Amino acid sequence: MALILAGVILAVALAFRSENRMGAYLKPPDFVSLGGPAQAEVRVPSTIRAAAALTGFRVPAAHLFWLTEVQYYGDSDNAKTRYGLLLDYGLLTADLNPHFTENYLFGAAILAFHVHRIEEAVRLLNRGIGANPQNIRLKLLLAAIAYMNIDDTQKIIPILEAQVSLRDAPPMLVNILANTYRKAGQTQKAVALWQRILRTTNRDDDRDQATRALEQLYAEIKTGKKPR
Amino acid sequence: MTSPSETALRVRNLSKIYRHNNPFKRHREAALQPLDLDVPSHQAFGLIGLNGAGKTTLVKILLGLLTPTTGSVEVLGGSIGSRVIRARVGYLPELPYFPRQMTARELLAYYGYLYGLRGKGLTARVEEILEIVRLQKASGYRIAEYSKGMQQRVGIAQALIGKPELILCDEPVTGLDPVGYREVREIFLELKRTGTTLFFNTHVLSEVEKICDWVGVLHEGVLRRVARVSEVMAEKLEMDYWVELTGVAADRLQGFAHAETAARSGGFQVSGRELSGVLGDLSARGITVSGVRPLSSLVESFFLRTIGRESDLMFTNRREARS
Amino acid sequence: MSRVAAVAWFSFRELVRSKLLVVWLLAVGLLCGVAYLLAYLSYGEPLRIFMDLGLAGLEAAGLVVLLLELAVTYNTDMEQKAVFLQLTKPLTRGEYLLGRVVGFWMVNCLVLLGMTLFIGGFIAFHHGQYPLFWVAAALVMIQMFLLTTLGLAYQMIATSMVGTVLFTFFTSILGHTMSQIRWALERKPDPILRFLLNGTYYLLPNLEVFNLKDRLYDPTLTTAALPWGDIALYAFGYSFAAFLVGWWALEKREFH
Repeated sequence: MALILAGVILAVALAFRSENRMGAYLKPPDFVSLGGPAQAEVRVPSTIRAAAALTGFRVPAAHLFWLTEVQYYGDSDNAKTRYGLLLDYGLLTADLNPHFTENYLFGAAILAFHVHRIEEAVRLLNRGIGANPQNIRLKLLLAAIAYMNIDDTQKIIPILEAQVSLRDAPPMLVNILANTYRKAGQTQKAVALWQRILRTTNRDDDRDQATRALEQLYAEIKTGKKPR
Repeated sequence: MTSPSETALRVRNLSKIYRHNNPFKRHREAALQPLDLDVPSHQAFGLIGLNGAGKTTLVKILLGLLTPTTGSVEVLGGSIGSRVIRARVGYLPELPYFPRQMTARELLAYYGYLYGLRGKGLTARVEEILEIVRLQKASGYRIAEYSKGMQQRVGIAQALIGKPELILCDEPVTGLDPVGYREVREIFLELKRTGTTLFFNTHVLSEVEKICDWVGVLHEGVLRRVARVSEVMAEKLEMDYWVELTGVAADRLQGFAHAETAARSGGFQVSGRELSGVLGDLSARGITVSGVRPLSSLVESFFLRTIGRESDLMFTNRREARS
Repeated sequence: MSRVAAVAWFSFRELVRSKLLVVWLLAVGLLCGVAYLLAYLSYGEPLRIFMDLGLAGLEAAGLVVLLLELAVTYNTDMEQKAVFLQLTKPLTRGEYLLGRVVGFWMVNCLVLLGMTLFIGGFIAFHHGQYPLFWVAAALVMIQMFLLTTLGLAYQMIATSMVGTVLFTFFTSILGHTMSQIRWALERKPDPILRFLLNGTYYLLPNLEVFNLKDRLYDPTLTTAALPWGDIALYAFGYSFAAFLVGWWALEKREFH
C-alpha cells in the first residue's frame, strides 16, 4: 500500500508539472465572454452559451450560433426589421470563436452592402481584425466598405477584386463585386462573375440570387435602363 | 491434528463481523462467530445450515473475496491471496453469471488461459472438460440460449478447467432438476475418486449423504458440529420410523402400546431405539408388518437435532406419517 | 502481461457483443448525418464546419460509449457477481483492473476510429487534408483513456451504477472548466469557495489539455507547436495515478 501511495504522489506530481508547463497552450482565448449584447433577443440563451463555452464545446457552439445567424438572414420576415439583430448574432458567434472569419465577412458584407449600416459593419470587422491581425481578407473588406461609404466604385473594385481572387472567396463577396461592376457599367465582368457563381456553388440561395441578377441585368440591357 | 499436506483447508479462530455505518444507528452483525475447521485433503466436505447461517460468508472468506475480522485461513498450505495457491483452487458460485453473448467454448478458453494453459494444451483441456460436463454439442452456442442446468454445468466446467486440487462450491445444485442433481453428483463423485478435495455448502441434505465424507452444521454463525457422514449414518437409533400395518383386526392389537394410532392410521411412529422391540412384539402377536420406512433422512435428522430443532423433526415426521 | 491482454480481449468481446453498443453505433451514424446536414444548412466552409461538428460528436460519442460500458459492466460485475469468477482465478486484482481499462478503451477506440475515418476520409475526398483534424481526433482518444481509467477506478469504490455513471459524466464536464477555475482562483475568492475550487482543480483532470477542437481556428497553432511531450506526460501521469487509486480500492473491496 505504501508503494501505491508513493506511486500516486509521483504520478500526480508528474501530471501537475506537465500541466504547469502548458500555460500558454491552455490559456483560453481573450475574447470569450459569457455575457453578450443585452438587447439581443437571440434564440439561444446565454446560459447555454456559457455551458457550451465552459464544457469544451466552444467551437461547435459557435457553429450553431453561426447557423442561427445564417437562418436569421435567410428568413425573409426579418427583412422588415432590416435584420436588426444581425450584429448581435455576429458578436455572439465571435465571442465563442473569434477566429471564424466567415462570420465577420458575412455579417459585415450584409450590414454594409445590403442594409447599409456601415457603423455596425465596421464594428464587427474591427472585432475580427483584432482577433485575426494576419487575415488580409478582413482588412480588404474594411477598405471596400470605407470606399463604398464615399461611393467611389473605382476604388472599391480593385479591393473587392483582390478579395475575390483569394482562394475560397465566398459567393457573397463575388456577388458584391458583380453588383459593383454592374453599377460601374462593366456588365461583361458582372455577367462573368454571376456565371462563375452558377458554375461553382451548390447552394440554392446563391444560385437563385445569381440567376435573378442575370435576368435583371439582361432585362436592363434590353430596355436600355441604367443599373442602380 | 492433521499435517498441512493432509489438510486442504485450515481455519483458526475465524470470525466475521459486519459493521453497518448507518449515521443514525451504528450496529454490528456477527456473520460468523470464532470457529475452527479442518477439511482433510482428497475428501468431500458438506456444510449445511439455514439461510443466513453464514455459509456463503465462510466460502467467500476462504476465497479471499471477504476479509475475516479475526483469525486465519490456510488454503492448501498457503494464503489464498497468492496466485500460486489460487491456481490450484476452483470455485463454483451460486447461480454463476456469464456474459450472455459468449459461447461456453470461449469462456472456458478464457478461464483456462488465466490458469496458465496455452495453445494445444488449452484446446485439449477445453474439449476434455466439455466432455466431462456433457456440453460438447452445445459448446458453440451462446450462453443466452442455455438452460439453467446447462449454465450450471458451464459453472462446473470453469471450476474444473485448471485441474484444481480443491473445489469450493456454493449451493452447487440450486435451480437444478432431479436429472441435474444426478449429473452434478456423478461429476463430484468422479472428482472425489481422482483425489480432488470438495468443499460445498448446500440445502439439499440428500446430496451430502450421497457425496460427502464429512458434514458440518453452521447455525447463526456458529459451527455447531462437524462429523463424519459414516458416523451420522450410524446414528440410526436417533431416527424415527413409520411401521405400516394393514388389514389387522383391532382385537389382535389389544394391549399393544400403539394400538390406537395403528387402528386409526394403519400404522404408527416409533423411535429407532424402540424399533426392534416393537417389531418383536408384533411378531409375537402373529402380526405381519407391511413395511418400515424412515421418517427423515439421517442427515436431516442430524441437522435438526444439532441446531436444536427437534420439534421441527417431529412435525416433519407427523406430516409424512399422514401422507 | 498476457493475463492483462486476456482480460482486455475478454472485456472487448463482452462489450462489443452487447446490444447496447450496437444501438449506440446506429446513433453515431445519425450523429455524423446531423453534422453533415447542419454544415450544409450553414454558409461558408461547410466541410470545415462538418469537421468541427464531427469532432464534437466524436467526443460526445466517446463519452456515451464509456458511460454505457460502465453501466453495463457494473450491473454484470457487481450486481450479478460476474467479477467473482475472475478474481478467484490466478489473476491479481491489478491485472484485472488494467485489463478492464484496456478492453474498455479498445471498444471506445473502435467507435471513435470508425467515426474519425469516416469524417476525415470525407473531408479529404472533398477538400484535402486538415492534419490537425487527425491530431484532434487522436487527442480525443487519449482523453477517453484517461476518463476510462478514472471511471473504472471509481467503479471499484462505488456502491451503485448510477453513482459511477454520474461521477464520470460530471468529471468530463468539469474537466473542461479548469481554465475558468484557475481564472477564478486568481481573483482570490472567499475561503470556502477557494477551498471548493482548489479541490475541484487538484482532484479532477484538466481535459482542456486534450481539447484541440476548440483551438483549430487559431492560425498560430501548428502540429509542431503542440506541447506533445507535456500532453503525453499529463495523460500518463493522471491515468497512472487514477489506476493506482482504483487498484488500491479493489484490493480493499469486500464482495458481499
